Amino acid sequence: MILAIAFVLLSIIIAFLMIPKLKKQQETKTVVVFSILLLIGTALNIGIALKINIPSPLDVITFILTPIKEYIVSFTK
Amino acid sequence: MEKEMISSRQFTIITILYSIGTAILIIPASITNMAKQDAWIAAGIGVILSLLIVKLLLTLAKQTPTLTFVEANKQILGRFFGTITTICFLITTILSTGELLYFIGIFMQTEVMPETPTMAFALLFSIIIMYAAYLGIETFARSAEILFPLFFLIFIFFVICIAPQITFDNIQPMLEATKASMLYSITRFLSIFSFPLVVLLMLYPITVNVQHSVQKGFYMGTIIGGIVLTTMVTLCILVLGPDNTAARTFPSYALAQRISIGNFLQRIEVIMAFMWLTTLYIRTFMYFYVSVVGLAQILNIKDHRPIILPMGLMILGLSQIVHPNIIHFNNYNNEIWPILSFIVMILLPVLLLIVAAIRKPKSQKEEEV
Repeated sequence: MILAIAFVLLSIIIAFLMIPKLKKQQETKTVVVFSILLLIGTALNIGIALKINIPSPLDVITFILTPIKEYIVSFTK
Repeated sequence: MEKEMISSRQFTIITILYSIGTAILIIPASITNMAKQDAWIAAGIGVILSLLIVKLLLTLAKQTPTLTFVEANKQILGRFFGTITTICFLITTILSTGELLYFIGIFMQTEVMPETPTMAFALLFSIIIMYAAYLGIETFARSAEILFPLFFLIFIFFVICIAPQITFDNIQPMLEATKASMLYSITRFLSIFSFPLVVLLMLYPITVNVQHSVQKGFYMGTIIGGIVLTTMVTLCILVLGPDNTAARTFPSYALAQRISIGNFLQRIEVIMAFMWLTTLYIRTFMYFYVSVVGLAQILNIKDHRPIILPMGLMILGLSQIVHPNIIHFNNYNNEIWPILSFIVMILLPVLLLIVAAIRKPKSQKEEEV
């Protein structure tokens, strides 16, 4: 719980440090990308801090590539 | 943003340390698992085959001398398909960064500090990586230059210290491995050692100032890295024996634990761990830098520095979820990663070369008209 709050505070600090600076330089696109990435990162870290069971993104890749793997394995046997 | 330049010597050093990377820790186990005592032959063949991959990458780099790999994708395949392939490439690099951070955490936790959570190591390491990415590639190249002599000094010291324990019975009988197991071993070796070299194409054509000597440096770097790895695999088999090597997660660390000279100079494995931390740092940085710069280039952002912090937070989170346990890690690295890296890091450059060869005559005709 404390870790989750720490992550929220950290991301708020990062946002407050960076976004006004970027707005001054008039880089709207960077601000949008920055905010999206920060949101994903913070959400992920809060999930980890609260010990929510997040499935590994590699499982998706494993699921896609398993047929190819099985084909190659059957080929060599 | 001013253009950053590195020298060809710095590029060679980055190639050496990058190709050694994680391989130095996990390759002995993963290839000895299949080829048993002939794993060193597989490693040797793997190094020779890697030179072909370097040749492929250099040919691709010649096609687009003013672009990075991500920009070359867009240029050659067009806006739509180029974006799709780039996204696949970037997903691979981002996930690999997370994996490497996980790897650092699990290595430190299992071998050095068993009661510290892996998050702590991942956090500290990601801060270094983010800082290095913020300072840029020039500073990073200089830091690699400083770390390189230290790395080799420790490596030579390591080889000399472990040499008295070699028993040649371990490597016999030779040439017993079946063709299939040999093939698997070579594929695993290549997938960790030389397929990811394509990441260096983000540096090679545009940020290196002397073009000609760099090509030689690329070959040299791969060969030296390969020699280091083959030495490591051979030593693991000679000292620990093939079964013992295959059973361990970090065989080269176990190798360092065996060092004992006159019952006096022993338990120096943490000093040896400097080697692994150096190469892991170089490899993690390269993946992270390429993900950040690639993302900035694909979204047409001028400066990549602002997105370093959120990306760092993201890979820190990723490092905690990519592998729930070490078995998942082993399965993924031995079975899925070779296929994934072959598709993204070998087939993609080949595709780019073919498309470039088809499109080039057309564009020349257009110019003539």
